[in-house]
Amino acid sequence: MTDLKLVAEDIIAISKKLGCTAQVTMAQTDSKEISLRKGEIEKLLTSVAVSTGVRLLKNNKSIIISFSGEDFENMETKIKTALESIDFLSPDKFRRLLNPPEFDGEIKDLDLVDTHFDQLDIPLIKEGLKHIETSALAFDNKIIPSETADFSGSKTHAYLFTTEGLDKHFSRSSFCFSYSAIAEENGLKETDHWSEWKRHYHDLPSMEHIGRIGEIAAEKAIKRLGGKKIPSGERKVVFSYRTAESLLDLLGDALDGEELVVKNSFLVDRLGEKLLPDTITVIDDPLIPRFPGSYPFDGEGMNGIKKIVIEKGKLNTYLHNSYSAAKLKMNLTGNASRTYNSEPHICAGNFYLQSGQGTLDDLVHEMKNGLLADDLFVSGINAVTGNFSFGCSGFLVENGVITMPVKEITIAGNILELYRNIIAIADDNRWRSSITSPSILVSKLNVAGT
Amino acid sequence: MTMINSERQQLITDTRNLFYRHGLPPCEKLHSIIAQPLKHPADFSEIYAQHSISRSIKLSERLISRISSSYVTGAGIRVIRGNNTGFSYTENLSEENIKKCVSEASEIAGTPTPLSVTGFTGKHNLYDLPYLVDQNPTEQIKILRRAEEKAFSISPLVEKVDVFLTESTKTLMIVNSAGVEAYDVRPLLQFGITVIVKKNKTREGGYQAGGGRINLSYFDKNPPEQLAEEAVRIALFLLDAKPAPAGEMEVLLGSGESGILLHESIGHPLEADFNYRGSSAFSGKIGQKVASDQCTIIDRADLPFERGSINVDDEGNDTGSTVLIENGILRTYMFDIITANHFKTKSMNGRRESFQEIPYPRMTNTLMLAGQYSFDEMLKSVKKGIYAKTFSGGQVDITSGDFVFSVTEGYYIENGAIQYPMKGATLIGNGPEILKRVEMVGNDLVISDGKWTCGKEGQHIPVGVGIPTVKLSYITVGGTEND
Repeated sequence: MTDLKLVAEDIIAISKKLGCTAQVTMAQTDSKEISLRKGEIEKLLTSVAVSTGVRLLKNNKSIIISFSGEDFENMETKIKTALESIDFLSPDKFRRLLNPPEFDGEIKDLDLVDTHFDQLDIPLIKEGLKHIETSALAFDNKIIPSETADFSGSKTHAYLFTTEGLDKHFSRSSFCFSYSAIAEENGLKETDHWSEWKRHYHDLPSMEHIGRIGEIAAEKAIKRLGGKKIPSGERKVVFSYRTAESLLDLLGDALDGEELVVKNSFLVDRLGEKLLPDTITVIDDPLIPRFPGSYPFDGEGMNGIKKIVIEKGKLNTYLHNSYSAAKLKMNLTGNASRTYNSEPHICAGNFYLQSGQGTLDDLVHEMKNGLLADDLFVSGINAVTGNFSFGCSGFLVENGVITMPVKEITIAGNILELYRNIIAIADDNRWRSSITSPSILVSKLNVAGT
Repeated sequence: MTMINSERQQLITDTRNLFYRHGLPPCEKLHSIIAQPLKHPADFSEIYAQHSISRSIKLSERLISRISSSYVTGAGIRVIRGNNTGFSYTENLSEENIKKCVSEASEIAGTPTPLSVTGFTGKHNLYDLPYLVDQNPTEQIKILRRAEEKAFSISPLVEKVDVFLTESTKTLMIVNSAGVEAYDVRPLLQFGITVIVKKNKTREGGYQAGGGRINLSYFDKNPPEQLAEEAVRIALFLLDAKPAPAGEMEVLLGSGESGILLHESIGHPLEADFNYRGSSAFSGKIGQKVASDQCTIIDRADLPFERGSINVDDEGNDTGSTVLIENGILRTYMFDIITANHFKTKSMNGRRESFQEIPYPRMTNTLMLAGQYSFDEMLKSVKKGIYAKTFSGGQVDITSGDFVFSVTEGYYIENGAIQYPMKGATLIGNGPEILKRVEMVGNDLVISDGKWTCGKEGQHIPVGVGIPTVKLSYITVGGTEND
């Protein structure tokens, strides 16, 4: 393998020589994926990927060259060619690299990497996958051996250097077991999925309990069999945590500084306003040890910071990189994304809706009559207005209990209004991705069916 | 278009030299390196080497705001034993790294099963000569400016215009243990324009895209001004459109862009991997009537310059045309090597995003052939429904066949006449079910101009879609206005 630090130092030196400033973002990712079906390993994938992004800046202009692979030959020529094109760009005084005080500070150890990646026991993982598949198939004879049981593991070393003296790196790993179950009845099929994801291998369920992944997927798939439409009308809706996650993701999009710069958000000019009820608090915290969205420093080198984005209904801050913060004359929030082939975008750390009390079942009981939305097809949203219309499947709830599966319906409304109408929040976040939400109960929403 | 022999020889020489310069061992040696893991005559091994270069330019808020270039180099090694696949890739093409990948990929175990491949004859020559991405961007910037100026000139309501142009060239060499050596140099051009209009306090956006496997000559036939006009038209349309009604009603799917619905809800479930596993709504239905008599659906990789076209698939096999559904009868699926061997047929549709991925059966350009009805006849037949002309995207659940699509430009129809423009509609239904609800197929097949990208197993590849106007007896429309 090429020594990445040497390559980066070389790029920094060439950039300085050619009279421009530069940021070099590099990552080496080792990964392993194993898929098992009918007891046999059907796919075994291993790889080492190297991504390099070079951002060159000169006269308030910035240009990107990216490399996937170790194609580092003729680097000086490539940088020179890029600098010839840079003259065609329009200057933009907000494009810059961070200066030393902005990227100073202690880098927190967030315990994101597990060296166990290097000692993965493939035969043991195979046994785990077999357990998952066997447990799913044994759960009910309606489950067909169709999909694979999957394991994936990866370990990434990320580096960031600039001509301004920034020199930081961190590592993280992730491990995941998952299964998609397919249930069949009367020639009709339904599928559902379950996974366990952790940064540390030994935080995953033990081999004795790993079969639960298959059982949960199977149970969820079976519950969906026989889904029907329901009549159109306004209804109370419970969003299970996975659908609530999709909704929170859309709220996150509206807080994205770059979208605000181009006014492509329903939260333009709303900073400081009390938009939502007291019960709604949304936090972005990239500094939680071992969590999916954690990072010690962002894509421009600023250390991550915890922010109460929406505090008891009041909008405190947007999420920024240096460009959107400068353009909107706001403070840096440490949310620049780590990108290789473009200018840094914006990404949240661990972005979550603060929990309330109780379980999904409690919310269903509290709703009494309405819809439990358990799967969303998020496709139609107007970012400027927040109006949406999504495909949905889930369950009809009558007198506090689930009475039948529902499919082929749509729900429509406005994201902000939906959050305004939240009347109960559960305490059931699942940390599998950087955006998580507990289940929520919404007082009214338009449902279209028959 | 076919390629004359000397051209093909030149392409082969150039491609071999390109990879050789990047450190890849010569072809003869590759054959022996990949033969190393073969323990049984039925085992299969392959190397897929790729070199890509691309450049993207963006104009935003009247400024040339972004230029970026990217270089991609690497090789993926695949070993197949029976139904099982071992795969490893490297981004360093040296002999040592390739050998390491071969050894990792060969760890896969499986019961040997004879595997045959379609092979490569190099019969197609479907694209324009590749564009040299390394040149200075003067011509590209002129095109972006032309689109921008036109958009601002159409209406004072136009507040903001973003335009981008991306050009790339992907060079491939595939060598496998069946003796195949395949080569391809694939250009891809994509243009897009987003227009924001503002009236009083309301903002709406319009988007139009175009491109294909073609160079800048694309704009001779498709002037940037025309693409800009369409984006402005859609944005202005949305300003005046009313919220869509909700409930079950008749639907006219517009020609061209409604092909996305065909791609997602019919095309994906006809990919053989889902059927091999029995997880598709169409599994086990070959020879059965699955659609109205009027429906004939094909997948064609061999349309010159189209976004989804490929001279060779990503497993080194000749591509072509496949009739999937003929007058309502399901004829066949789309195959990669593994599934083609399972179903004992030819593979032509193995595709992958890059050397970092393993191939799957994928679509190229998926079309529904024209029927007999004129648009007017179809419109007149609608008592109460919507005309869904363009779409912004959609999703499908392959297993159940359930789908959802978002209509961008739509119209409410009553008593055979368009009543008013509407927005915010979502169509929701089930692929196999709506195929049976096709009442009329129009005589106006249109191929939607190069804009669609298909995602599967996390891999994104360019595809084409095409469809005539189609009338469905009913579908659920999700809108904000309840009936």
